[in-house]
Amino acid sequence: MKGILKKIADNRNYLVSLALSILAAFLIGALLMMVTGYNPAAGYSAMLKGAFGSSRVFGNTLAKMLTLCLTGLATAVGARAGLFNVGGEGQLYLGGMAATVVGIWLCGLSPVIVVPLAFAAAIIAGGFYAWVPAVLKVKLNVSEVITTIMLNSVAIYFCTWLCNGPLKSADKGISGATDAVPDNFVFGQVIARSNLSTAIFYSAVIAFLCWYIMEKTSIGLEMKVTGKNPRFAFFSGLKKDKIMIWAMVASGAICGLVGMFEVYGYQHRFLPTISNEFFFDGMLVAMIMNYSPLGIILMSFFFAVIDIGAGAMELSTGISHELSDIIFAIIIFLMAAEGGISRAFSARQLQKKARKKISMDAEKEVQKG
Amino acid sequence: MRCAFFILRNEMREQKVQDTIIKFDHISMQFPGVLANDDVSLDIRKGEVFALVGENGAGKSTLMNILYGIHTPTSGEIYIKDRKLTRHEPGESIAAGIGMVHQHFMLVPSFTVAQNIVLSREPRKMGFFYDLKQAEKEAENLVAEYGLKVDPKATVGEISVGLQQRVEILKTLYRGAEILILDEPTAVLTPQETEELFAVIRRIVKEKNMTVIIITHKLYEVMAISDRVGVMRQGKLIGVEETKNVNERILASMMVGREVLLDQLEKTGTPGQVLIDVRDVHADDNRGLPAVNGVSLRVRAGEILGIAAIEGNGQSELLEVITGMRPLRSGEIHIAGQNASGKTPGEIRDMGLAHIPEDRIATGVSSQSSVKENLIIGKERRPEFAKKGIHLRQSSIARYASDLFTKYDLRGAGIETGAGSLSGGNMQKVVVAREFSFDTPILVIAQPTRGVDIGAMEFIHKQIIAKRNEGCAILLVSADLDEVLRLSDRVITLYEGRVTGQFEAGKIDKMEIGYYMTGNRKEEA
Amino acid sequence: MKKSISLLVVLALILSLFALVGCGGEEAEDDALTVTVVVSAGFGDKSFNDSAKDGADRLAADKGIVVNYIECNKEGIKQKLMDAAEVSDFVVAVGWECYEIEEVAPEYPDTKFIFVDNPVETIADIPNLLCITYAQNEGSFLAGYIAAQMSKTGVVGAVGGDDGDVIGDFLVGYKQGAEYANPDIKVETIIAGDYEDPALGKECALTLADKGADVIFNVAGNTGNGIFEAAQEKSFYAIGVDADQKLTNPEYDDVIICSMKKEVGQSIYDAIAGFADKGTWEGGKVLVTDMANGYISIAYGDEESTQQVPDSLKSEVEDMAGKIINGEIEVETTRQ
Repeated sequence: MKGILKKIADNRNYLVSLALSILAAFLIGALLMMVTGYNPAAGYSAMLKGAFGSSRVFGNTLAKMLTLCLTGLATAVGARAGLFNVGGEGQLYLGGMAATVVGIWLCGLSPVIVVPLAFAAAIIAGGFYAWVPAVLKVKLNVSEVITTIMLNSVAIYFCTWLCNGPLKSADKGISGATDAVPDNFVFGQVIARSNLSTAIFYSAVIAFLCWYIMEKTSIGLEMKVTGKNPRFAFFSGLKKDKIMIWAMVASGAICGLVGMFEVYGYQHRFLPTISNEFFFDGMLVAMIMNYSPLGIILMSFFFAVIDIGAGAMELSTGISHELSDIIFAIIIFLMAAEGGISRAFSARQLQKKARKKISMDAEKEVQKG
Repeated sequence: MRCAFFILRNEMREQKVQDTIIKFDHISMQFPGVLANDDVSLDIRKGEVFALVGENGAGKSTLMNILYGIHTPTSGEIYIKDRKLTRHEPGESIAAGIGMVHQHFMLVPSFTVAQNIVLSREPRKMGFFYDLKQAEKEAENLVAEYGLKVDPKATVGEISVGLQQRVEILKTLYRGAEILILDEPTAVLTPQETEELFAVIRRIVKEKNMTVIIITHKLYEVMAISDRVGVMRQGKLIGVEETKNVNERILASMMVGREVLLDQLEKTGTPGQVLIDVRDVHADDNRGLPAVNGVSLRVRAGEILGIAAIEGNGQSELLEVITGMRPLRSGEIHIAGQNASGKTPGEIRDMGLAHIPEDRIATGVSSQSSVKENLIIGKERRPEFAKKGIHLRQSSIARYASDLFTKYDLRGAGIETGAGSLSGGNMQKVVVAREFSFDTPILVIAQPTRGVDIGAMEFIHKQIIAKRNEGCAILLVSADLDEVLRLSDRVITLYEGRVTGQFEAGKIDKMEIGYYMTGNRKEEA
Repeated sequence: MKKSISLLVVLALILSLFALVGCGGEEAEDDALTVTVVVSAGFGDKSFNDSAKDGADRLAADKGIVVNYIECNKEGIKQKLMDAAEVSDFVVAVGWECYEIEEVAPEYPDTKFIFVDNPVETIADIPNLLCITYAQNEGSFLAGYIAAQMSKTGVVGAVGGDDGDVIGDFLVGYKQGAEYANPDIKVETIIAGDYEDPALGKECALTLADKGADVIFNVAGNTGNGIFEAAQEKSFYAIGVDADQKLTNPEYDDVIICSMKKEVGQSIYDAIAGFADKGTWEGGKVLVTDMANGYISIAYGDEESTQQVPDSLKSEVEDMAGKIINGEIEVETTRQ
């Protein structure tokens, strides 16, 4: 407990900025609602109801949270070692596709064999797809930001082609998607009627592992140092290249698993629309929270509430659900400015304190005579 | 008779008051987290050479930067030639006659001397076109007038550092400087060039009545060139003395606030087996040009081999090759008998080597990590610090860091402080603490006390000698000749990537080494 | 300290804001019917989805029914169906991606569901679900007939949205009708694969035009709106779909010769109005709407529109329509 309080005290400025940004975003949202003729109280209460109002929607909120949380953590793992994995979307697609293929092709076998294989397939597909840009960066200093973004398109189009071509479902009612993964393989529903599946348990394990490794282990420490100071890491004898590559691979593997969870836990088949930029949302959450694992977990819950709530808000009050995007954008914008603002602020504060001290000292000198 | 004396004395006093060309009046400068100048009041007299000394972080550079208009003081006033500075911009100070030559030159290497001198105030033909001929003429005039010989048509990137410094001085003179501020001017000069610089200073002060302020921490230079010296410590001006009334020891104790012994350190033991064996190594610099051209050397256990060289003659690259930070083109390196050629720093460290790098900020510490983290890197997988090598034992690590903190006399911060916000001396001590605590038999040390205050310098030197006496083989590189001569058992000089001379420590003098450092060989009389 | 105070002040302001503004509420007529139209994509395609919207709008205007709209943009469709079901009496699902309605409808027995365009396998077990399918092949037959008669090059074309059964139904009728008019006619088809990309539609149309097609049938929703632009550029004719596109796209009046109307909106209107007025509801089955019951027809715009199809051809078409209705001409179909 003391540790948590200390952490809060250390990061006081940052947390205050975060709270203020969120507050400001909600105020501006309320303003927009009023200006367009809606009632903010009704709007926000509809939003809360939309996220918590029934077990179904709460399940949806949790389901959204786990997607954001994992993609955010995947970003953080890469960023910890100094690499920006912007290719999570593509890794997600490939992981989901790999898991789907395993499920469909091995449909006769027991789930005890197939489901772990599907996990492995998702991890390997996502991990490998991140391994390529990682090696290019480490060996040839090719910017991983560019390679991963480009590879996104490749993966997405490839999977879309598979859905419309070789793997197209024979099912008449379905257009442009694969067959369904057999029912005995898919994850069970945890909350009835909602999107929430047992994926939440696997996600919790992954989230815990991420946090544990990054914060409490020697590996995490090495990653941190490598990310912040690659030259120092090299100089100190750390296996800089290996660390960076493994961090990217882990990041890709997590995204691959997210893809698998979308298929096995929600859609039960692979669609080209399996993800709607889920990775980028998670990446933004990670960036706002400065890549802190704990922060990402908390913030992804918060974002999920707003996202799911906004959809229901639109239905019951007519306020466009894009309001949630506006709120996110303002928070991001203000948090991006946070660094500069808080620096200027504390510099000003110190100047004031110093002037005060100097004049107080001068007075003392005068009094001493 | 008495009256005459008093009248004369008062007149002289008045003259002194009239002679004040710069007045610092209760200057204070507050930066976030540090009071850099604390109520400094100082008068600089016209036509004098004033030395401003102090440890790093004492506030001397800040004070001069305020004079030059880079900072606006938190409180207090500055008067140049009785006129108060109001805008606190370099433009204002330059107009008032201040010229500053920084430690890191601000020259364009591809331009000529003349082009650099007139930069930003180029003479123009018809108000628009750059008049290169006029620029060269004006440069020649300056050279003749002040006796600072340098060829206006030469390309700056190709002339020596000493000449580059002259170009910097000429730049300030071109802008009509009457007061010259030199920030650590001799850091990059050979002993010969230092003598030449001093001659230039004496000449421009005497013949042109210029005022020169030198910021330095080299006390013997203070004694050699200055008329008065001001000592700063922790932001305060401790005292101003006539140079002839003090000596190095007095100055040192003023700087540190206590007695500092600058005597020889006691060396014991005899050298053992060869632990560093470098054979005909060739390597390139960052531009791909040859930097190390066939260097061979050997260091034994229990001895310190010092490399004396001017910056940029291959010693940085040589050390990087030995420690695995740079690939070698040819040759072999053996560390403790094992072949270390072309291996990674991690592998070489495993052979028993620890390394204090030249650039502590970029390479020696992780600036955004805490002191504690910096101290533990390299050891984080040891069982005493991580269960099964994975789970960090935070309390053991904290304890270890605190112990090192105390042992290496780190001050003014805690183990959780970010390493990047430490002072130069403390940061270097962190590097030394970490590297020395690996207890390796071989140490490669570069620029151990560059930018480090005198108290910390003492401490680090003691640590280095202690390691030597314990039987470590130490390879030392330093741009500070005094340091090399003080610590080393043997010295080699390096010029353009080749070994030009080898000496026993007790048996050379500085001037002679200076010749070898510039590639000359002194003719035997 | 100052910061905390200012934070508290801000919080207080917000709370008072809510209190002040908090007294507005929605006065909903509790006894009015609520209908929620859930489209899997979005509105603005000027054909399929917009037709559904028109029908719902008319329900609101004529019967005082409260109508909501949800555009899913292909995301979270199942949950949105459930959201709709929880607050409405009727949920109308438009778009094949809403197939999960099969699972949702049984969960909300008090809500009535209408699924447009697609049959559902277990329909018989779901009394609160009505599937409406359309005999688009019949209308497409006539469209093909007109196209073949109007074509001077002997090549006609069609741009399809995907290769599913419904589009296939359009195309099979179209081909048959064209060949009925001219056995040597060539029918070129391109499947765009997307319903939301007019630029793609234009590309496809230009490709068909290069192959010689001078009448091109739009079977691709919003993507098809690009066909009309191409038609103007390259001076060929186009045939609209679902709605009377001479009226929905008046700027292309000169190139659209007719439209194959599929009265999605009307069918929705009739189904719900039937319940609202008379309480009739025929759930648990698939309702087939065709030319006979008036939901499929060919439209030529109104008095203001320019007519490209000569009256003689129009009366031929009417004859054909009659023959289809009375069974003399059997149009092929992809529907079971």
